[in-house]
Amino acid sequence: MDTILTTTFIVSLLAAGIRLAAPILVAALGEIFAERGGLMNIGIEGMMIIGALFAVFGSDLFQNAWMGVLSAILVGAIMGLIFAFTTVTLCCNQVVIGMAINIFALGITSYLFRLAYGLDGQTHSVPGFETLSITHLSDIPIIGPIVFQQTSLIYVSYLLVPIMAFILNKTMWGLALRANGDHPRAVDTMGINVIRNRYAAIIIGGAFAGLGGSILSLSHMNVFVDNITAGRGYIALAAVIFGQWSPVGALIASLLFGIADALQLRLQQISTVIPYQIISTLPYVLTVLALIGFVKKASPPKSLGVPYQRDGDGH
Amino acid sequence: MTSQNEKIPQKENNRNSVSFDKKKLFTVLSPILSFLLALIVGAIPIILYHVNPILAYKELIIGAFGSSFGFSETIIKAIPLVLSGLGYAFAARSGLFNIGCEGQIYIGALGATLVGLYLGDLPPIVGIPLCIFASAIFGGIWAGIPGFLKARLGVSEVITTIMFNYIGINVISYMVRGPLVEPPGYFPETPKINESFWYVNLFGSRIHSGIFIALLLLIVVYFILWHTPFGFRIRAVGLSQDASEYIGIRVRWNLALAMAISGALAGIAGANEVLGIQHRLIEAFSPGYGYDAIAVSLLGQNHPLGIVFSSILFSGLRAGAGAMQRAVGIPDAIIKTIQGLVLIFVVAGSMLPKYLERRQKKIQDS
Repeated sequence: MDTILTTTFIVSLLAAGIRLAAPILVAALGEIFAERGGLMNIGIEGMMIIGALFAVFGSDLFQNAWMGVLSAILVGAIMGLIFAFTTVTLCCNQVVIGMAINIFALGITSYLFRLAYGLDGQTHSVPGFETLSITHLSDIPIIGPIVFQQTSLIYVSYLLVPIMAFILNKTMWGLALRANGDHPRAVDTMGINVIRNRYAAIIIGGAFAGLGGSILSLSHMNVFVDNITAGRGYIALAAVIFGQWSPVGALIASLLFGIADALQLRLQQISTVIPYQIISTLPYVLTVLALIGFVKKASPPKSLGVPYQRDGDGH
Repeated sequence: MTSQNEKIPQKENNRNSVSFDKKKLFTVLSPILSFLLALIVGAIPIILYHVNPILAYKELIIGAFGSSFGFSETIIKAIPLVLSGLGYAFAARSGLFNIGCEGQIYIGALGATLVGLYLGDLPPIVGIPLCIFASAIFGGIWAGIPGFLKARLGVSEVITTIMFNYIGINVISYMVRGPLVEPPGYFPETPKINESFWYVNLFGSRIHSGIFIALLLLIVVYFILWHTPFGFRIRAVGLSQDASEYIGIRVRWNLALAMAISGALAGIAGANEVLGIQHRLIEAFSPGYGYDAIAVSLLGQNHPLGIVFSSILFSGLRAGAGAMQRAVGIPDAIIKTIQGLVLIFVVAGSMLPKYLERRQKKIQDS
C-alpha cells in the first residue's frame, strides 16, 4: 500500500494514463463524428487493428514513422468507405457490418503480418516515436513529467480535441452533420446532401480509428502483435456515450479508462492480495457502469443507427 | 363459362406461389453465393502468398472432409458452433444482438465444471443433466444481466455483452489459476472432472454424445420459435416492438427472457467442451466459438436448419485450415478473413435487391 501513495507512483501512473488513453481518445473522436452523423460503427476495433498493422508497414516501407501514421489513416478511411457503402447506400444493418469488419480485420491483419514478416510473426524493429520532452515545460515539477514527456504522436492526438470540438460546434459543416444525425429528413429538405454528409462522417471515423491504431503500434510498442487492440475499440464506443457525444467529454472518459488501464497494469506487479485478473476487468466493468449510469441522461443523436431512405420511413 | 371462372382463381394462386418461392429461393441462394464470392475475394491474399488458390482450397477441403480424422474434427468443432449459433439466433429473432456468446460459453463451462468437480459422486444419469443445467443457468445469467439492462434501462446490449466477454474470460482465468487449479498449479486448468460424467465417444473417434444434445436442441429451438405462442411473441418483438406492444405483448420481459435463453444455449456449448472434449476447464479453451457463432447464425439466416449447414461449413474451414497451412504454407488466419468476407457479402447481398429496386424507381421517377 505504501508504494501506491508515493509521488513517483502517481506521477508514473498519470503519465501512463495519458499515454494509454490516447488511442481510445482518437478513436472516440472519430466515432463522435460518425455517430453525430447517425452511424454507429462497431467496427472501430477492426479499423484500429488494420490501422495498427499498416502503420507498421508504412513506417517500414518509407523508414519514417509519420508515413506509417499516414498509411494507417488512409487505410482506416478506406475501411470507413466500405462501411459507408454497405450501411448508407445498401442500408445494411450497422451492427452486423461492424462485427463483420472486426472479424475480417482480425484475420487479414494476422495473415498479412505473417505474409510480410514470416510465419513466426516477429517484426524487426520499425521506426517509431520516441518520447519527446518539451523543453522547460517538462521541468515543471509533477505536471512536467506527466503531461510533457509523451511522444509527438500523442501530443498531436490531444491537440485534436479542441480542433474537432471547433469543427463540430463552430462550423457550418459541423452543424449540418449534427442536424443530419438528428433529423436527416429535415436536412434533406434543406437541400443538403444527407448521403454525402454521412459518407464523410464515417470516413473520418475510420481515418481516426486508423490513427488510433497507429498510436498502439508505433508509439506504445513499436511492433505489431495479433489482437494488439484488445478491445480498445469497444471501449472507445463506451467513451463516446460516457462523454455524451462531445469531444471534451470523450477526453475525460478516455483519460478515466486510460488511468484505470495503467492502474491495473501496475497493480499486477505490486499486489498479490487482489488477483490481477479481477483488476484487468476494471476498464470493462467501468464501461458497463458508465453505460448504466449515463444512459438515462444521455441524448444520443436521434437518428443513430437508422439508415436514411428518401422515400422510406427513416426519420 | 364455368371453366373460365374456375380458371381465374387458379391463375392468381399460381402467381402468389411463384413470388413466394422466389423469396425463399433467394434466402437459400444468397448465403451460398456470398460464400462463393468470399472464396473468390479470399483467393487474392492467397495469390499474394504465391500459392495457387485452387490448390489451397483443395487442401482445405481434403483437410476438412477427406479423411476420417478430418471429418470427425469437422463434426466435433461444429457442435459448439451449432449450440452457440442457436443462442445467437434466439436473441436475434427477438431483435437483439448477443455479441457475448463467447463469454457465455466460458461462464457456462464454469458451471458445468463446478458440478463435475464437486458433485462428481452423483450417478451420471443425474450428474450429466445437472452439469448441462448448471451451464445453462450460468450462461443464462451472464446474458441475462445485459438483457435486463437493455430491457429495463435501454442500455445497448451490443456493448454490454462485449464487455461481459472480457470480464467472463478474466473470471475464468482467475478461477483456473486460483481456487480451482489442479495442484501443484503449473498449468492454468482445473483437475479432470469425474470420469463418469464424460460424454461417451462414438464410432471410435473423438465425436462424442454431445452431438445428440446439439441435434435435440436444434429441434427444440425450432419448435419453440415457430410452433409455440412464446416463440411467436419472441419473433413478433423482433419484427416490431411497437406492433407487439400494441397487441399486448410484454416487450421488455420477452427481450430479457430471449437474452437469457440465448446465453443458456451458449452456456451449454461451454458444457459441451468440458464434458465432451477437455474434461476439465482450461484457460482460453475456446478458439473463438462465440464470435464464430455470430457469423454462423447470420449465414444460416438465424434459422436452425441454416445454422446446421453453416456450422459444418465454418467448422470445416477451421478443421481444414491447419491441414492447409501444413500443405501449402498459408497462415490459417485466412480462414478468419474469409469468414469476415462471407459475413459482409451475405448481409450486403441480402440488401442488394432492395437497393437495385430503389435505383430503378429513381430512374423511373426522373
